[in-house]
Amino acid sequence: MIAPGNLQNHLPLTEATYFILVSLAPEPRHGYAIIKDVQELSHGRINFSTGTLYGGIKRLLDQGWIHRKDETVSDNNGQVRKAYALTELGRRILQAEIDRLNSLVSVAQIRVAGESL
Amino acid sequence: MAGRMYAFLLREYPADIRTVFGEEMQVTFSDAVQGNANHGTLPLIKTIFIEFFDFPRALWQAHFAKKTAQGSIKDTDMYLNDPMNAKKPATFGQMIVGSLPFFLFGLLMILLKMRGEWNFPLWMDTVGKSLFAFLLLLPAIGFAAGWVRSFPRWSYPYTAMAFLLAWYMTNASSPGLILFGYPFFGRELWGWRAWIPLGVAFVVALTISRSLEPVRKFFAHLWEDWSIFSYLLAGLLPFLIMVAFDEIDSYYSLYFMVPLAVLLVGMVVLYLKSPQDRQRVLVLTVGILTVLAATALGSASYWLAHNGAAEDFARRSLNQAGMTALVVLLPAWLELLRRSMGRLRVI
Repeated sequence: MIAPGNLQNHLPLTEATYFILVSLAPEPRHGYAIIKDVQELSHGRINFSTGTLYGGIKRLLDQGWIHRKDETVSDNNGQVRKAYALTELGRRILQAEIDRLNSLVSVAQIRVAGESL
Repeated sequence: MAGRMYAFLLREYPADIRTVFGEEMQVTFSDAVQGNANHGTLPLIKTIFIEFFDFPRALWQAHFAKKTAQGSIKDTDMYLNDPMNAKKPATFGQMIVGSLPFFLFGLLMILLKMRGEWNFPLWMDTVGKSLFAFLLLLPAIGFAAGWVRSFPRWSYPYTAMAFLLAWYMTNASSPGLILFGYPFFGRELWGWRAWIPLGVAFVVALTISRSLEPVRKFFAHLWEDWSIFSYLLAGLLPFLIMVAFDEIDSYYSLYFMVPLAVLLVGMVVLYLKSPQDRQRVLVLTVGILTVLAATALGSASYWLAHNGAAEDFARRSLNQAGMTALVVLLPAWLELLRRSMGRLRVI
């Protein structure tokens, strides 16, 4: 178990890691769904190839930030797709990153508001 | 067909990744192709292009990703954490070191065209020969320094110059080069001795660094930013200029040597100081095209006017300059293209 203070050692997240975790936050998704969702979330800036995506998924799995769902998604063609979901650790890492980003934005907003007064 | 090619390429991945993710990756690729085919030809082409373009990088990552004790994802994020890719301009010192060989070769180009009958003082002759001898060593020194520093951006032209000089001097002699009584092999070809400076540089660098990791970084940096390869090839430009103006009248040549030397140094300074990749590619494009065009036009015009060379000679000169520019600049242009296809981030 990583102590709260040690969460900071993993921050800041890269943009791509951040978006993958955000994509998996509401519900489990399989590979192509992650690619499409991240593309939408990043307004087209981040376009994963399968090689890059699964290289990252492997690292996130090794880190224990995500896990594979036991159940799989099967389409009409019988092709099986494994879905991934955030672990508790992954949620805490994501929340720590969101808190960090919020803190940055708050400081900037306060300073900018102060300058315009 | 794309699916079959993809399945073939998947075989290059490490066995553990293939076993665990291979089938999934094929399904995901198939989903991506089908999904984008529904939106038209262009999105489909873009998807396939991204997939195959990114394949070497993803393969590299899969085989050589670093595993730290913490398993930090950041440690494998070469793209964002590698200082080579940091979007910041070179420091003043890096700019000086990076532009030094271009400045000194430019100076040499000018000095070589100074006529003997202009009665310069003897010490200038010594300065010129010393400069020539120093320039035989400088690229190797730069190569060694670059190795020790894990090949930062400024060191790449040094590497190109070091190898080109060694190769060139293998079949060259320097009969007029006598410094402090030492004849430098007289009329004899340098042969294997031309490789001594580079060999010594290699040994010194390896002794200091005690690792071949800088060699891996040399190629890793090239892969991360293809425009560096164009910058490396730009290190060959001083030699191209000297060859193009060989046996051309000194007065005539001087009018080209001075501005060409200034252009080269200016291009290198702007390149190293540019923080953005688009700016770097623009600087390289404008600089290299201008230098090659001026060199080709300058030498072709001379031979047309003085030697009765046919017009097709001038056309051939320009064609050669164009082909050279294409070869040198293609990596930089492809780098812009792949970045415009979307930021392919390593995660």
